[in-house]
Amino acid sequence: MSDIKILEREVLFAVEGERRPRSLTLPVDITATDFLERVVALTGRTELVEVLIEDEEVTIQGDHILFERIVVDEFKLVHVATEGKIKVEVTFNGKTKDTGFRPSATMEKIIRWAMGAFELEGEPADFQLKLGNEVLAAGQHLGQIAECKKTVRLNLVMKIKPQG
Amino acid sequence: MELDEAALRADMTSAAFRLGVYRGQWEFVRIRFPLVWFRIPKPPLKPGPTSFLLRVEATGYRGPLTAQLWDARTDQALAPQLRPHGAAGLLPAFSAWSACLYHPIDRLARSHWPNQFDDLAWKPGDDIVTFLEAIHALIHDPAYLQSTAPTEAAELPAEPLEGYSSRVA
Repeated sequence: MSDIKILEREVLFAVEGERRPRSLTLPVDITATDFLERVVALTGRTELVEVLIEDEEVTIQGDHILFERIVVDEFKLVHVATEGKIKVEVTFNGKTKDTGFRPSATMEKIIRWAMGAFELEGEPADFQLKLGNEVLAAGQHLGQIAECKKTVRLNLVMKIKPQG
Repeated sequence: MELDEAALRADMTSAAFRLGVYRGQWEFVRIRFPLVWFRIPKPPLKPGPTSFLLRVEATGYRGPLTAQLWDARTDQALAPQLRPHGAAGLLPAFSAWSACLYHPIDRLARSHWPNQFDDLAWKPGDDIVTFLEAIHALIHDPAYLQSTAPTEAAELPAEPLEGYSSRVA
């Protein structure tokens, strides 16, 4: 049996309004509140007030130990966000539907919702979301591509497979 | 160390690159610049090897990259009959038309579709993460049915990458 005690771990996390994830090495017993304070100090953005797990609807309570809330067997990215949801307007074949998502929602989650809203068959991987002309990766968080706006307009398209 | 190699090594220690590792999208195997090898898992619940080996050629990075599925046993491109297949045969991105991917993101293939597929091509600001995300999506295409490649084809011994963290949550 090992006597080695891990005192610190690195957390990968997204910040609403930033494309690239960040990382911090933190005490293993840090609370969500203390983690949030570190991120606010790091970014200088006092409007960041919520800590979310990818695709979850409920924020992590401030007194919860951050690393105890991170699922180990299926990696999920932590997201530090401003308050509330982002309105997403998705257009497909000229029709538009909208709903609200947490900033930690992945593009895959939004595609699944849109497939239901537009009554589309197939698999989420048959589709992709575009922001303007940019194809968005399935694992990207809404808050990473929303440029700090609270309304985002996306286009849902079938994946194109270039042929000869 | 030249700038292109330094940039690639730096990007492979970034949080964005490690995010892909921890999501199980790719695994760094080794680097012999300008060549670098990764493993990309097959789609879950579908027949095939555990992973595919990808050899990337990165001269001039952060400019566009070129790559091929690779066979560690022969140190050659993976034979076409062993590559990912769908109902209509080889998945188009892995067809045997040339020594690269058949996709606009590959720098050797890009000129095959002049003035087309700008959204799928390499753009300023793209990096190794963009490239690997695209190839992961090509392998995980719902059209993937099977590959007859043996798992040993991707078994190239992994080497540590300097600056890499393994205690990420």
